[in-house]
Amino acid sequence: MERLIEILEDIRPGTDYENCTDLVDGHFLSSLDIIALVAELEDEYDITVPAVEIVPANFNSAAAMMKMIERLQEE
Amino acid sequence: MDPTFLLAGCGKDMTSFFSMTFLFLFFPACLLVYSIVPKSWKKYFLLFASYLFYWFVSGTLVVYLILSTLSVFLLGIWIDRIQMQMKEHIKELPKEERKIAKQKFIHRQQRVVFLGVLLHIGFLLVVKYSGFFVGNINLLLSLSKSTVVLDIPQFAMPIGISFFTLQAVSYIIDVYHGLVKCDRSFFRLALFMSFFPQIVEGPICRYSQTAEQLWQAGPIKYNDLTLGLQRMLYGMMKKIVIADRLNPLVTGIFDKSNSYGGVIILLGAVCYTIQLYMDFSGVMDAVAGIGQIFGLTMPENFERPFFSRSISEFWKRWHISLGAWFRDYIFYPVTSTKRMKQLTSSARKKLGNHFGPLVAGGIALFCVWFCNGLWHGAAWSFIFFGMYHFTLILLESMTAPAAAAFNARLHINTDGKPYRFMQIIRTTILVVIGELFFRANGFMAGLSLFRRIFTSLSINELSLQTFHKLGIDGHDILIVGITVIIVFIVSLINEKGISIRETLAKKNIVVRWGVLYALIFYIIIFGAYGFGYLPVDPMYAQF
Amino acid sequence: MQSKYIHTAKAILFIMIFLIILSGISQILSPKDNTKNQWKHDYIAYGVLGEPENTVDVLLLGDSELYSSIVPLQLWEKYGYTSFSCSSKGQHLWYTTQFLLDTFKHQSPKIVILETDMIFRYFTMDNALLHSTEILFPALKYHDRWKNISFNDVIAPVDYTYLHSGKGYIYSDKIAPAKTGKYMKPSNNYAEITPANETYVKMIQSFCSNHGAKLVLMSTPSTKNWNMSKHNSIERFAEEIGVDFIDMNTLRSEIPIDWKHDTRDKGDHLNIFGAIKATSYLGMYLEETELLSSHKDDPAYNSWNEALDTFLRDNDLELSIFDSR
Repeated sequence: MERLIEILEDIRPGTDYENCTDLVDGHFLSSLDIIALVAELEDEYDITVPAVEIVPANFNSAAAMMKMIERLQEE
Repeated sequence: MDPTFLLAGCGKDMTSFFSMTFLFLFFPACLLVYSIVPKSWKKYFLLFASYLFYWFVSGTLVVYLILSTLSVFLLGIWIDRIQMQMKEHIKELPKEERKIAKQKFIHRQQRVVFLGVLLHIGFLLVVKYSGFFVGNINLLLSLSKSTVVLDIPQFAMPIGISFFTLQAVSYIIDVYHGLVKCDRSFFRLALFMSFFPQIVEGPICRYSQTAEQLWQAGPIKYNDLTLGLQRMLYGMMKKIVIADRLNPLVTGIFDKSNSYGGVIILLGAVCYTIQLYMDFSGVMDAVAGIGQIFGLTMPENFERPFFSRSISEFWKRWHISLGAWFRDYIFYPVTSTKRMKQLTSSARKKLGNHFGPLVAGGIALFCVWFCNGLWHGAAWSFIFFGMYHFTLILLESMTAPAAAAFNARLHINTDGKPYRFMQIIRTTILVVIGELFFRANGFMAGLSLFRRIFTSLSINELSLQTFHKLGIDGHDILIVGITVIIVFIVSLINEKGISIRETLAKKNIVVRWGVLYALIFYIIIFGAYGFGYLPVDPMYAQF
Repeated sequence: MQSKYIHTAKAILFIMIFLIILSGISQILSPKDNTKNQWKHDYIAYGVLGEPENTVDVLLLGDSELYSSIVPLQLWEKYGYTSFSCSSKGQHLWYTTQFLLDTFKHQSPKIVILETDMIFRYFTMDNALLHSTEILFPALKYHDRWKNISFNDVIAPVDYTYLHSGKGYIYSDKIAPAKTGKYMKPSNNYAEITPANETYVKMIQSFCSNHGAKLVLMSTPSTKNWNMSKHNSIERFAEEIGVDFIDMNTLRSEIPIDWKHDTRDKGDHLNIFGAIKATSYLGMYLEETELLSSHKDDPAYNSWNEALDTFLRDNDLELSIFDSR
């Protein structure tokens, strides 16, 4: 989780990633941020994030992202 | 009365939710029958009403809607069958072999999806764009001194095709991705595709958003009725009082643009932007209102776009359902392809975290905005409109780090009110320029209009006489001004996070009814309809 | 269950209050006079409202064809018949209905003449619905009057003061010759009459017969707006509903229109020279009906002589023009 927060800070600094729950819906992360984030996550956690997973529900909070990562790792 | 009278004007009578036929005959009759029939029939009645409505606006072209629904229904089942076979097949295999075995089935599914997309988008391309394509081929032929001239094909376009085609495609892809289960009830899918408030101008709904809700069709609740009515009236006010009253002015300026100088053209662009917003968001309010009366929550298509601080934010708040469709079915699928991902990874290593994703993102954005432009209409001016916004969004992203550094250097508080205000104004100006090209009769006309803003600027033009020539008097300006201010204040309060509707709902009956009566009579007295006015069709129905 | 009744009662109450307010606003917004200042749309046709009560014997309804073709004051001069032409540009039958209802509030014409060009003018059900509601709630028609409303509109009684000296006829002596190559070429076709228009004519017919007026369908001469297939279908329709049909386009020897001279815009509309020929035929027809009497010697109708003088003076005409052929 800490590593994830670091990645997020690196991509777009200045948001309270630990507590924010509307990162996408609140326009904190742009679609280009998401692309960078997906690339980073794929490298870091050795997963493939298909387009269908890129929905607000999976990216609105750090916790949701972690959940998605764990799910994708299992597959 | 002669019953054929009712069918006489089919295709022309009821294109708007604000037409008398809809407001005083179709809709009340619809509500009445809906509330009388037993619960289990309500959903079928909604389907019947939707097809009746489509018949009124489109006549025999309803056949296309039926064929479209049928094909989507069958394709969904087909994909589902392959998925079941796949599950059946891999159940017996050891875990490590499953992935490879899956591939075969996934390819088969992809072929079905491809067929479905080809079928629906292909038809849309043929009826909506073949004239444009053939026209351009002819232009090329004439440039190459060829004497061959192709006939420009003419097709009758079913109303709402640009909207329900996207719904159809999203359903097929969602079934393929397993986001929704394929629908085995033809009527439920048919209702999702044809629900009458949204078929003409959207919002473009996803199957997961409305299909199940619609099928639940329950009794009308008193609160939903009054709140829905209130929302409809608010939308009517936007359209009939503001947008329709501005129509002669806008039409006058853009149709005879050569006779006006920069100030009037600028005024025309601003008024057109206001007209388009009030018209489209007004109709969307009506759609949401009608939906609410039936107890449904329709997806919102607007979120006060003129408070946006950047163009990319603007497009997240204007015609939201279209933007979301392009994001989910074009943008991310493009960036998620293997090649694009490789591009992003290598670009990030060379260009860093900010500029790296811009390469693949830019390509995907280009696809999105090309489609967005073309979706609005088959003309170069619309493609230019798409490219204009593509460029702005790309520039915004590219300059973001420099702008941030610049602001930090000068100690500008980017969260302060003055800075935000400046951003909002800048965004609005850029949007207005875009709409100027959007409305102009062709790309070249737009360019010449844009040039005149700078070359023939004279404030003297702005006189009451010019307005009279355009069919607008001082009273019209006054009432448009007042109503725009009303809408602005309501938006401002909503923007601050206070829901006016909820606050109102807590007040006593005198206040609540007072608001409804005020809205109704405001529209009746100050609306631009009847003697001396030409009726204006909803603007997005033509796209 | 009980709440259901309360909600129904509330809905009914809501609608009733709405209708009461709408009637009140209608009172205020309705014009208090028929002058151009009060209501600028088609004020000439609304000149009929200014005529003294029960003095108009023939009511003519139609579009621009009619106000270019029939000269009511010629009928007065020749026969002492009083008539008024309620005609407006591009009139639709829903609008005709409004003129009919408004006129019959103050007049009881014995003959109503409907120009048939309107029967082929398309309108939507939406138009029909809006404009029928306007009859019940004038606020919907006159809502734009908020722009120049005054306190007078709240307190003053209705008093119509405007009179049109041409009695609805709009004068023109322009000449623009017409081509007549295809004019009234024989045809066995029937032009389509929409169900909406058919319904409206039938409604007008039953209104007239309920008010003791004879309805006549009449087509005035025009090379651009009339042809044989329109003639055929109106002839059949008139027979079906049992009313007279005068087609001036087929009466070439009775109405010798010279299309090189008698039209102001290449056959679309007649000018004064054509109008006099058309009117003199209409006069003969009206005389034959034996429904009308001359008011020439009735001092109560003196204003008609004054109107005739004004009309001739304004347009620089001699009385003898009505005898020109």
